[in-house]
Amino acid sequence: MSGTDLLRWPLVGRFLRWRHSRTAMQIPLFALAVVMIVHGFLGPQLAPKNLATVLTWVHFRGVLVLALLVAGNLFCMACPFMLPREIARRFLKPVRQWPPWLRTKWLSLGLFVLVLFAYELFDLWGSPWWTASLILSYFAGAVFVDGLFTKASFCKWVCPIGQFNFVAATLSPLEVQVRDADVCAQCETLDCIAGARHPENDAIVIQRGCELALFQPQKKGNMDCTFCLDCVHACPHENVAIAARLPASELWTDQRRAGVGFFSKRKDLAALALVFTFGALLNAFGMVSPVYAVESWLAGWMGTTREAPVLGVLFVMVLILEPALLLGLAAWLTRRAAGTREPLLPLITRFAYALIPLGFGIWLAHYSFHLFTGLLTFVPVAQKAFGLGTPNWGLGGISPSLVNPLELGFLGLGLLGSLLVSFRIAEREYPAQSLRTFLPWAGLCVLLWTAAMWLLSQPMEMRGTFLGG
Amino acid sequence: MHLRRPSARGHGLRRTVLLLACLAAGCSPAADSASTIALDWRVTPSAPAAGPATVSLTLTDTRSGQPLAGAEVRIEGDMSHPGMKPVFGTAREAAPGRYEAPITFTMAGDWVLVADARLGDGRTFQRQMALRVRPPA
Repeated sequence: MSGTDLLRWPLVGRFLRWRHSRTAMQIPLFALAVVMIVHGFLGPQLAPKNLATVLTWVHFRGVLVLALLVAGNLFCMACPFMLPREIARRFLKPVRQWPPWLRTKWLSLGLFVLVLFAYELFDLWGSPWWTASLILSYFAGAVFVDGLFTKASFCKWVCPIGQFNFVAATLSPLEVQVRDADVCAQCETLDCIAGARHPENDAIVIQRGCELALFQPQKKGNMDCTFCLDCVHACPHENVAIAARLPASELWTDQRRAGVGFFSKRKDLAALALVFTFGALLNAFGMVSPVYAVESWLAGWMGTTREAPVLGVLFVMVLILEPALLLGLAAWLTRRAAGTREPLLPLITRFAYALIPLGFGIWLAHYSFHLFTGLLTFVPVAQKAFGLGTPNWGLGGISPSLVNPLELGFLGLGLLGSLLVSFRIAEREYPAQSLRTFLPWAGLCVLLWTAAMWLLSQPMEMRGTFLGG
Repeated sequence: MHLRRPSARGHGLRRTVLLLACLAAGCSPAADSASTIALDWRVTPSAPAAGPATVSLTLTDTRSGQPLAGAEVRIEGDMSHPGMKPVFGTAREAAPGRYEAPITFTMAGDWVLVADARLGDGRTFQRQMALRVRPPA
C-alpha cells in the first residue's frame, strides 16, 4: 500500500476506526428509511409530493453513484437494511451455510434485472406505495436471508443494490487493503477473516471477521467489499487501511482474488458487468421520447396492449440479444486479429469487464441529472409532511442546461475508462497483437458511447404511463 | 439514574408516535364536496406540447344542474416523476361556472393536473387529471 490512508486522517480516520462507526452511520439512514416507508404508504400518492419517491429516485440514486465515483462503496458501508438484521441476529442464530450451488451472482443478477423490470412495469418512480414496498422488501429480504444463513449471505449473493455497488466500486478511488503484506505473512490468528473470540469462551465472538470471505492478504479490489470495516476492527496489528488507488485498475488485472477467484473465469460476474452496462442504456432509454415509438411498435407487432410482454421482449432484446450480438462480433474479430481458434465465450468473459466504466458513466449521467435538477425538491415535500411552515414549491435544482455538460463529461470519462481497460486487457491477453485485438473492443465502446450520446440528445420525457395505461 | 431511564424512553416513544402521526395527518386528504360537484375540464391545445397552455374547467352542481359561479380555482401541475418543480395557475372566471387558468408545462412527459376549488358557499373540492405533454415542436 502506498499513499493516502483514510483511516489515518484526523477526525474521519478516528471516526472510522471507532468500532461503532458503522452503526452510527446506519441509524440516521434507518430512521430516514422508516420515514420514507411511512410516507410512502400513508402520504400523498403523487410521486413529486412523497418522500419515498423523491428521496429514493432523485436523491438516493444520485448520491450513491457520486459517492462511488469520488470515494467508494459508502452506501453498503452505512446500509440501513443491515441494522434490523444485526438486531435480529441477537435472537436468530443461523446455522445453515448458503447453498454451494447458489454461490454465484446468477441469483442476484436475476434480482437486479427483476428490479429494473419492476421499475418499468410498475412505474416505480411514480408510485410512492410501490417504492415503499420495495424498500420494505429489502429490509425483509435482509432479515430473512441472514436470519436463515450464516455470514453476509444477503449482501454477497442476493442484494441487487449491493451487486450494483460492487461492480461500480471497481472504479472507485478507495479500497480496503492491507498496509504491509509482511505483517500479514507473520500473522497466525488471521482475525481479519476468522474474527476475534473471547479468550475464555470460544463461542463468544468479540469481533467479526469478513463475512464476505475476503481474506485481506489475498483481497484484490473492491468486488464484494461492503466497506463494513469488520476487518479493520478485527486486525490486532492495525494493518488494514482504506487506501487510495488507481480507479478501474482492478479490471485489467487477473489475479486470484480472495472470495472472488479469477475475474476471467467468472461468467456470472462478466454477465453482471454486461447487465450493468446495457441496463444503464435501457434504464436511460426509458426516459426519452423514442421509447414511446419503440414500445408502440413492439405492442403492434405483438398484437397486444399488455405491458409486461412488451417490456419482456424489450428486456430480452437489450439485455441478452444485443450484448450477445455485439460482444460475439467483437470477440470473433479479436480471435481473427489474434490468429487463434479459442472459443468465443471465455474471450467475451475476459473482455466484458472493459465495459464497466462506460456503463458507470451512463448511470452517472442519468442519476446525476435527476439529483442536480431536483436537488432541493425534497425540502417542500418534507415541509408539507412534517408541517414545517408553508412549503416552498419554488425550490428546484440546477438548470438542465447547466447539468448537460456534466452528463457529457461523465459519458466521456466512461468512454475513456472503457478504452483504457480494453487496451490493458488486450495487452494482457495478446501481448504480441495488443493493438489489433484492442480495436474491436474500442469499436464496441465507441458504438455504445454513441448510443448513450444519442439518448442524451433526445427530448427528455418524464414518463409515468405506458401504452396509454 | 434508574428512575430517569423509563421516563426518557417513554419520551422518545411519544416523539416517535407524534412524528408518525404528524406524517399521517399531514397527508390526509382534505374534506371536499366532490360528490355534488361535476367538473368538466379540457386543456388547450388539446394535445399540449411543452410550453404555455390553458386549462379550462366547467363546474356544475350535480343536484341542480346549475353552473357554479364565483369559485376560487387554482391549478397545480406536477410531473409523474419526482424531482421537478410543480407549476401553478390561478383561474379567472370566463363565464358563470367556466374557469380558465394559464399554465406552462416545463417539460414533455406525463403530468398530473390538480384542480383545487373553493366555492362561493365555502365548499371545497380537489380533482386530478393525468395528461401527456409532447416535446416542443
